[in-house]
Amino acid sequence: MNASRFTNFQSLGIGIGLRVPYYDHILSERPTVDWFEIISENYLVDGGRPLEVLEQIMAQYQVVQHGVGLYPGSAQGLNWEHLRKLKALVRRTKTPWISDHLCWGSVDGTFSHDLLPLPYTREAAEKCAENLRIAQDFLEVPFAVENVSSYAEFKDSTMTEWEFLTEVVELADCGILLDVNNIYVSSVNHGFDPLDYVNNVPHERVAQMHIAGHSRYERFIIDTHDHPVIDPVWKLYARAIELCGPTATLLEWDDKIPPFAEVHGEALKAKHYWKHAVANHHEEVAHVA
Amino acid sequence: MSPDNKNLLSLQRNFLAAIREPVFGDSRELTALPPRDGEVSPEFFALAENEIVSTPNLEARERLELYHRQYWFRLLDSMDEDFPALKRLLGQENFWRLIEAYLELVPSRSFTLRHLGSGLADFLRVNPGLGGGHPVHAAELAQLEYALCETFEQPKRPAVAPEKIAETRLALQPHLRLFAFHTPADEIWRLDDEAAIPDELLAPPAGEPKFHAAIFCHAARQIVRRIEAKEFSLLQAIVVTGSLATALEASDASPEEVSAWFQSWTGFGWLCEREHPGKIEITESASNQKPVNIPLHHNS
Repeated sequence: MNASRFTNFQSLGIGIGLRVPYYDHILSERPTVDWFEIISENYLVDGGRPLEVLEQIMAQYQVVQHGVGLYPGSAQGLNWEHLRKLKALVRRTKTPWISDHLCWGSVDGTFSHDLLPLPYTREAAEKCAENLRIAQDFLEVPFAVENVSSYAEFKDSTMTEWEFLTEVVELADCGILLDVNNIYVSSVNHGFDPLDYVNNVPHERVAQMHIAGHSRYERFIIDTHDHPVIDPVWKLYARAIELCGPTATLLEWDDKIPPFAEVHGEALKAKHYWKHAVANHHEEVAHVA
Repeated sequence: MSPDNKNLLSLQRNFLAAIREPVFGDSRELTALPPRDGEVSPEFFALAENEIVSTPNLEARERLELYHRQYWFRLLDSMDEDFPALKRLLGQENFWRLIEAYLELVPSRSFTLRHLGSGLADFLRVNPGLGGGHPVHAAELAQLEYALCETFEQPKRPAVAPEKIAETRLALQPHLRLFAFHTPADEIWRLDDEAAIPDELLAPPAGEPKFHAAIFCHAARQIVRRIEAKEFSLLQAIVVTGSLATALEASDASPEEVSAWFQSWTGFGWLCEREHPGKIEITESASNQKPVNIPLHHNS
């Protein structure tokens, strides 16, 4: 399994998103799960039930923080109050790395509560990298930035999305949370080959992967996280694992949430592709020898 | 900030302004919002035309519209989830008219949707015409339902043992909220979803607040509990003085009443040790309406 400076030299397997409907099941049944991903912003609170449950989960499981509110693409820079709260949570959870999305979502103090798209320009890349460097330095854990699914592209863009992602992570010297489903969604919405994306990101920087389901409409796809993973996304995932090696993987399921066992079973399908990747890797080593 | 970064900021300002515009037409029909004539602004169309790429499948305007819809869907869903009793009081149409007006004028200033409804009660007080004929009931119900959201994420400090109360500088648990209402907002909140609201609960409010309630967490549940006016006053006095004995000096409650209340407070663990002597927040639903910060003079 991939362990590098981008994962704090930790190897994790297949994780599940910690969601409120699962609290009772997890605490009473204590299912065997490699790790749980938490949405950081759900726990940026002073106390109450969310933190009580989190403490109990952390006593049994490894937890990794994933954010939706840092907005490293913000032209106005990061919100320091948010960063300070995140840092307090990082200390509490001892997350090996932390992730958030390559997007923006607020301006002049007003929040969209969405992951909004960026123009793929050198200037935007530099601003994102500056923000990510600040976040990574301040939080004192490796930062992995996630590619978002998008529904609009800007005329000002001067590079592809994967070139933009590469530019950002190399300038910021941070990791990648490669969301394979998001690549697929955006490839359909914008008309590019998703394999070009997977083949061309810096694989050594991939700290974690996301897989998920989505909703397909006649003319576009919306990233809804309310279905099982479809075959084309599994194929893309297989290619990503082949290139990156077995990588900590998280199945996202955030709406129309089925029973825990169903979600866990869907997530564990990822292991099948890991075996192939490891076998191929051994074959390559034997061939070289 | 470089000139190019200024461009990025300008793009982000224009984009957010566009998706915050009201929804009309097909997009509106996908929401629960009542019908409203109109269309998005020329700036919305200009942003799409000038900045966004069209594809064979979607025009630039349609692509921006996807973000526009998602913005409204997400915020409307959040308010729907947080204010079910207010929706029952106002009815679907009045509720959604209120929520749309609120979201247009009071954008989210927090990283979390949990705080989206924080200004709704005050908004109703300055816009009573949006209260569906019961503006005070609506404002107080909004205040109660938002308190339920708030208490969920407040800490629970160790309760003071009964035998230590006399020697401890007291405070109330951060998850406890006390209310003095002009309307029986707690009773309206308690009604079943399908139940009609009895006329007597909707009687016009007059004079001083008559209904007092405590909202708090206990055993991982949120509880709304009616309390007596004298109990409310005594609890407020404890907040201000930090001392049960001092608070009792100004109270006209009987020993029997105090004994019964005290048993309930210790059972729920309401009394804790004061952590920060500077300021304690008390939320009231009275004529001053807003949360007030009472500076405390800490002698220890």
